[in-house]
Amino acid sequence: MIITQYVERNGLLHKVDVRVKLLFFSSIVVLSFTTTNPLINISLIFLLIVLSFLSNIAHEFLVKIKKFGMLVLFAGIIWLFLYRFSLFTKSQASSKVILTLGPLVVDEVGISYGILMPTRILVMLLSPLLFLMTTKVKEFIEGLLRLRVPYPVAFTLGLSTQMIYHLGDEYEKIKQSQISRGLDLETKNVFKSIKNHVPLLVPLTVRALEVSEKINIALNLKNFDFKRKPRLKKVRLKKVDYFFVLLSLLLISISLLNVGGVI
Amino acid sequence: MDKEIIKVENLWFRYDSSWVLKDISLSIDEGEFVGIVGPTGSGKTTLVKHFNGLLKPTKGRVLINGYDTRKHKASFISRFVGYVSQNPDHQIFSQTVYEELAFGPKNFGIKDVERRVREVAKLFKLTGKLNSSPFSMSMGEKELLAIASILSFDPKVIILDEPTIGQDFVSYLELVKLLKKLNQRGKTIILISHNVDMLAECTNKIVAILNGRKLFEGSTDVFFEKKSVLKKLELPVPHKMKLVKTLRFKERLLDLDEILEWFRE
Ligand SMILES: Nc1ncnc2c1ncn2[C@@H]1O[C@H](COP(=O)(O)OP(=O)(O)O)[C@@H](O)[C@H]1O
Ligand SMILES: [Mg+2]
Repeated sequence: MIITQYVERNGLLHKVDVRVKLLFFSSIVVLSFTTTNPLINISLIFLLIVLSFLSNIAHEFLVKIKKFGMLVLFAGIIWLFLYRFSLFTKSQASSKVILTLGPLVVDEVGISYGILMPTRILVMLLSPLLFLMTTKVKEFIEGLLRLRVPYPVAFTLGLSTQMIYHLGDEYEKIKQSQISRGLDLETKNVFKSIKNHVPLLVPLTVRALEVSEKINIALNLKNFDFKRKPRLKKVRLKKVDYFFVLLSLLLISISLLNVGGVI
Repeated sequence: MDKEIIKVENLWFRYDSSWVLKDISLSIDEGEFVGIVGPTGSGKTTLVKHFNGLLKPTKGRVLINGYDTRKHKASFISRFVGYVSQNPDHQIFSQTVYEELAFGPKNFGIKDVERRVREVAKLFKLTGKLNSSPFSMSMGEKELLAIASILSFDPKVIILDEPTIGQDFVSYLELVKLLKKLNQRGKTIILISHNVDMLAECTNKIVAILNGRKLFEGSTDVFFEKKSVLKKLELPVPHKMKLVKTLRFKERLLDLDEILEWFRE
């Protein structure tokens, strides 16, 4: 019933200890957040793609990247023009204007935001994705337990990653059945578009409840006991693990330099 | 009534990397009752989602009532071809059965919504439930409601994708009766099903899909004579055909009513 995103392969990331992987992918996200340099974000995306190749899941990974393509492009265009109105950006009085389209002004800072924000979004989406594609739910939960996360929390987190994926699937089907009854989701009118999403949200909520109910029943059938923590075997870190720890430390140092305003 | 309503020309389709539909061409005329068969995963659902524009060809062309599906929104093409989703819980969202039935007609800007809803409710014996909540219905009722909520906007074609109602004998007879009635009134029906008895009973044409390729397109009578095709699809011979054979009936297939009539005599 639950469709996992996990791709069974004999690849590099599959071999890395879950805790190390958590550290590594967190440090990627942190760096992406702290840097204002679009080049760093582009390098991080490149790094993720290289890792997907080394893990033998490049094909599956690239297909997912393609799916986010439109969203990212859209974000890029928005930031290109609208960064000027953002509360988070610095004043840009000195920025060189490159192009003026009626009321819209494109300047140098705008362009760098137009690249920075979408690449940042991409890193934030792709990192957890690559993690989940190379980690079994069971490993994920065990990893969290080893990090002293309380069992119910670890368990819920592990399961919710699956729920999210499953619900994405459901959402697609719901969308298709309402379009089949003439619902227009491609309308240009924003207000109409929001209103037209109501027929999607109701069934989605119902399905979400049903799916969690089913999981609950399945767990009960298996005599699952939330209070009893499974016993964990001792695991030793391998060479790859140390390599990724070092890599993470490197990424974190760059973040720190960023925050300190050195770079 | 020989107007071509669905035309598929050299359709190739893939979701991501591998081809799911390979070079499929077929045509369906108005008024036909078409069965689509094939093993699970062979591409039946993917194929019929091209009939109302939910999916667009990667290569090739699909024409619905003359409209190229790539050039029009799915919500427009759906006016002609109604696709009943497999799980009714994917569509039900209204507070009353009435509103659920009125959703399609309203979206398409059809006049006379009320009359349509009442008509279809009568056909499906839902008149007494129009003001009750669809969420409190049984699964079987919900499935009927899902079919009804497509028929309420009166598309020329209706597609049923492996309906699970009709799996027990009583609802099977009910569904067969209903579909035949609709077909007699001129509705084109496309039924995806593994139930050879239902296919033999209702359809006049079969399209068989195997691994994304079209294996057969032709009349139902001919289809169930083709032992080699049935074998490839791992389908049994329908009971009716066996009966016809053993009783040395006329060449053509009889329908259930005729057979019952014969037994009475
Ligand atoms: N949304 C999707 N994304 C990717 N692959 C899909 C999707 N839907 C179906 N498939 C694949 O396409 C093939 C045909 O599926 P489907 O059309 O559902 O077959 P059927 O209806 O005959 O059982 C299967 O291999 C299935 O895994
Ligand atoms: Mg199917």
